[in-house]
Amino acid sequence: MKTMIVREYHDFFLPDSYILDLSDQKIKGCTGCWTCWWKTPGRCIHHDLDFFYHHYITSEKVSFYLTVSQGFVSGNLKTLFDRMIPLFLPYTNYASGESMHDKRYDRYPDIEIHYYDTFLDAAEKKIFEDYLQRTFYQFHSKNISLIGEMRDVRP
Amino acid sequence: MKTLILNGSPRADHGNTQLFIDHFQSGLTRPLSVRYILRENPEKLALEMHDYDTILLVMPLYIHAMPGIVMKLFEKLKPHPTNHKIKIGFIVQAGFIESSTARFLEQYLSSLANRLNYTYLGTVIKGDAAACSILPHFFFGKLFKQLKALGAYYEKNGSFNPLLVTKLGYPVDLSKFQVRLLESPLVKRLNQIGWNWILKRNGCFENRFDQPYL
Repeated sequence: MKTMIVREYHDFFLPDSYILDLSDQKIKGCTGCWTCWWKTPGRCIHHDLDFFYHHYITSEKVSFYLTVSQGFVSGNLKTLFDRMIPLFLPYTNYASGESMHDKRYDRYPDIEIHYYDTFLDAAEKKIFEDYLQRTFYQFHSKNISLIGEMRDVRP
Repeated sequence: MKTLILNGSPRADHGNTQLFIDHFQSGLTRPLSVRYILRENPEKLALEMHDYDTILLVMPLYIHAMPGIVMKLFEKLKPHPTNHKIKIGFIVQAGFIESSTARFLEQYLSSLANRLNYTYLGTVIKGDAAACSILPHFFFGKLFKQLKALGAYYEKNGSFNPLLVTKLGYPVDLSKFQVRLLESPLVKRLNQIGWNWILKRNGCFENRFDQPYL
């Protein structure tokens, strides 16, 4: 099974898997230009994520190892999410009862999210988990799982 | 009451967020100063925010939350060192019709204010706003009037008018009737006309379904 890793912590790897190390790589910001939708369909004006896009869309599973920042996803991870719109079409459908962008690709990977649990309270954690579930649901992933790791397991 | 408006759009003063700010400001007798997060050092801006009584952050909704540049600013925010109670409110403009697409962001913004010991003024969410800076402005006359009224109320009361917040947030969710209508072949086709027109104008209509990263 082809797997990809996106990590903000941990240093392990899987043989033959692509790793995007967010602790090392600062993602260029989405400029909001919509070039990826209406000038070069499916392609971002930046090229720092070209390998990521390819591996994301061709993997069966993507595992995320995330830190919690100010009670939410980090700015760098949020920038990565913003940059994922080229993987979808600008057209909207409402078949699920709400607005969703159409798929550009036939299939999207399953998602497994590990996060380093530093929340101040259960409410913060719920917002974080709900947000990630929501995001990957909108990204058309069918199976999404979240696993919180406690403070003392951080390497 | 010293208020700072922050524009959280990656497009700075060229997009829908700036339009929202301009129409909010049109309801004020004295314009408020505006700073653009895109052009700021987040660490420095976070410190300078402590010089204000109220922060109004206006931003687009990106992937159900704030744009990455706004989260990078949030990461630098700290409680005021002298316990001066800063007030913070948010105006979010989104592309999808229903305002519920911003519900996790709204919950987070409230939680963030609590984390920072700021007073939370609430979050105004307006959906179906993607075309504000593309289509002629007369299409959005009602929205711009509401934003003006929101500004006028803010100047007088230092808060958001709850009635306007409700009106701007409508619909929270799509009704079954709306879904049926939006999914009907005719409306679906109409909804695609705008995108297709731009794709054709840009000479890439035939490539609209490209899958370049396979």
